[in-house]
Amino acid sequence: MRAGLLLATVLVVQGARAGPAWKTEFEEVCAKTPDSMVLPLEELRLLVARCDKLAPLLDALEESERKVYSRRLQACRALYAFVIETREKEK
Amino acid sequence: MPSLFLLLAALLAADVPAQSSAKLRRPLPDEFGRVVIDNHSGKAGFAPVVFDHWLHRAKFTCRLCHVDLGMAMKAGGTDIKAADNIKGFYCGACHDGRRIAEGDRKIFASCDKPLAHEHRAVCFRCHSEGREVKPEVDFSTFTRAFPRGRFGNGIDWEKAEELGVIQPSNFLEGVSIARKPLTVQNDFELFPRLQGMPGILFSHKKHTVWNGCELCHPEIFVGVRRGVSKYTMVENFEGKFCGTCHLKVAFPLLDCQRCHSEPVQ
Repeated sequence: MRAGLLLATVLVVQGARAGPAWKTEFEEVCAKTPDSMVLPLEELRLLVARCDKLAPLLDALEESERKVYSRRLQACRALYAFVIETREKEK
Repeated sequence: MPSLFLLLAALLAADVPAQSSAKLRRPLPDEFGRVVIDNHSGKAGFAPVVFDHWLHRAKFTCRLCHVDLGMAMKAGGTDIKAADNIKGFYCGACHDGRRIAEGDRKIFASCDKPLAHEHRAVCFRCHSEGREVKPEVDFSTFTRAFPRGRFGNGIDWEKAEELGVIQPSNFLEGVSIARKPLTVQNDFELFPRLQGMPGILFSHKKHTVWNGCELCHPEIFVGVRRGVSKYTMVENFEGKFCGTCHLKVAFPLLDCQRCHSEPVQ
């Protein structure tokens, strides 16, 4: 019983430290914008797909958080999509 | 050659539709970059917010606020509400009453709680349009040691950053994402359509210090390859392309030789 409580406490504390899952995913996906010009096309496409998967989760957030993070996600998705488009045109 | 620049600048400036019939006055150095925001203030019984870029840009990159904090590039475009600030977003990300600025000065809290009228002096620090509010930081004193520029704030911000007079932060704990340093793209030359006009050397390095990638691409510039985005000085003076920043905040378009710096082809 005591061990179970301890484990639950640890998980809650760890979860709180790491932040919500959407935020971890957001940070991972959007951390790559400075490299966007040198990333392979496949990786850029994957990043766009991850952005699209994340967008509905952000839509469900409360208003302030939704406004900020949706805009931030939109900016990084747009950059990745734009680099893909430019590279494809160059081919 | 300078007279050609001035003539062109005057013609282009005259082409921009005036907002009213009154003659437009060039802003004073401390007014340049001022943004007045009135999405919700009036309805809540407050004066509109007056935001001066000069103090903030000396401490933070453009990218920090316009990407990481989610601030739009047009006044009023963000739709900031007091509730957003109270929850620690937008202005409230820094102005939370806890964060420390240089030294041990606490950054005042924005919209932190409803206040009785007699205690509203703190609100008027931002909600100051039309009020005589003495700023906490005096422009002349603050910028005394900064390298001088010819237009705008009268400050050469680029040189100030280059010389280390200012060190604008690009990271806000709890808000920004830890990123690797940016892979800087090459500088490139743009060729003006007008014969006899000096060429433009566009420096990615100078711009990425302040902006990163996603502030400009693709919202402002849809092309990464030279020649993909076709634009004119008239469009710039209308606040598009370079004019998005270089009209009211970054050094203004009247400072022709800052961009048109290459020998005439």
